[in-house]
Amino acid sequence: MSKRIGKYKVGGKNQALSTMDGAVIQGNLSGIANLTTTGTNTLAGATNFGVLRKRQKVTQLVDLGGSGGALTALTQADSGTHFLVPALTGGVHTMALPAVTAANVGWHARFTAVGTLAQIFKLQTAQTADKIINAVPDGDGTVTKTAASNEFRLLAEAEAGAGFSITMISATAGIAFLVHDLAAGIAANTGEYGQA
Amino acid sequence: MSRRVGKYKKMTKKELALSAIDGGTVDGSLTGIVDLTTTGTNTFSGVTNIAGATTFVEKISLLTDQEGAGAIRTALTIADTGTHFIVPALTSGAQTITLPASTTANVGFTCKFTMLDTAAQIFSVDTAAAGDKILSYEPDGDGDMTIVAADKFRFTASAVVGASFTITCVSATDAIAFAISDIVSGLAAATGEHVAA
Repeated sequence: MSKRIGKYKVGGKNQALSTMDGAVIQGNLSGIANLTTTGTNTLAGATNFGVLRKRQKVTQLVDLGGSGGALTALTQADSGTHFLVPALTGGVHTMALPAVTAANVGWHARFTAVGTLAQIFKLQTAQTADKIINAVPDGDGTVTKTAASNEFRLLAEAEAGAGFSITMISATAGIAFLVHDLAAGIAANTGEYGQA
Repeated sequence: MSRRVGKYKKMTKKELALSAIDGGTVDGSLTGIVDLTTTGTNTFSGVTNIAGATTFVEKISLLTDQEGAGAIRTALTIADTGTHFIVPALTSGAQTITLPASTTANVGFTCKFTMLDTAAQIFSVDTAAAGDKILSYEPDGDGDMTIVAADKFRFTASAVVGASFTITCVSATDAIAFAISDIVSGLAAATGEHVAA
């Protein structure tokens, strides 16, 4: 800590007692009315909000070009992110889902195409045993249901606006992920999504 | 600050400056906190990572029928992000609500609209500028969709209770600024309630 807090020069005791220049607090803080922070906030415990006004974290993915390849694997830190998938060149692009653990249950993300993909974009489970429950629209009001996929894909035909959400709903590998809230980018409402 | 802190009177200016017990501005980081309890408005303008389970309630806002064509309320801003707007039956004229501008600061803005009753009039969510587009899809009721890069996304007069959609500002690039998702049909036919224009 500084030897000066505000305009006051302070000794060791006052430095230790004051939190005005930041501190490590061993205990609880309560009674705060309004709290404003500008840096990174990490709330590691259970967190109870009243009314939460939230803004999505939006991340634009980058076309790897070349022959495609693997984008950075997803982690718990990506939970809540809305990823934009651009038109892709070169080959299949993949992205690994987080490991299926109790700590990761509740992880979720959304993916939206913002151009005609031209190449396949695959979300892949980290382990073969980890499964994705999904239902792909057939374009006639029915769906093709698969309860045990290792991949969920935006196909090369997917157009701007196609999007889906995925949530880790269980630490049991066989029912780990659920794909939901699919949006259509093409009128036929089929042929944009795939699984394997 | 008060010249009294807790039971202690005659606090010196230096003591008042060093204490955060009765509020203050902290120039630095606080760590090691176990339980944190606040009762007012909390503003986290940086990245906020919540690794633990999170409970919260949606911000619900019931819109008011204006009984005539025009704006149903003031234009939406980033302060409205996360709000679930409830649309009542509308008695007269198309009623509108304007989206925020497609700026970098507004990327991530999201809100949901749900019909509370039969609309009876058009309810239109409009972009702020003609160049701003909404990537939208309208269920046709037979499994396929009508795809439109639109300036408006609407509940038709036929929309009934439960019809719903979400809109998100996904990009500061005008042509792909907003995306529609999570469409819910109120009608069994699953068509004729949502329309882009």
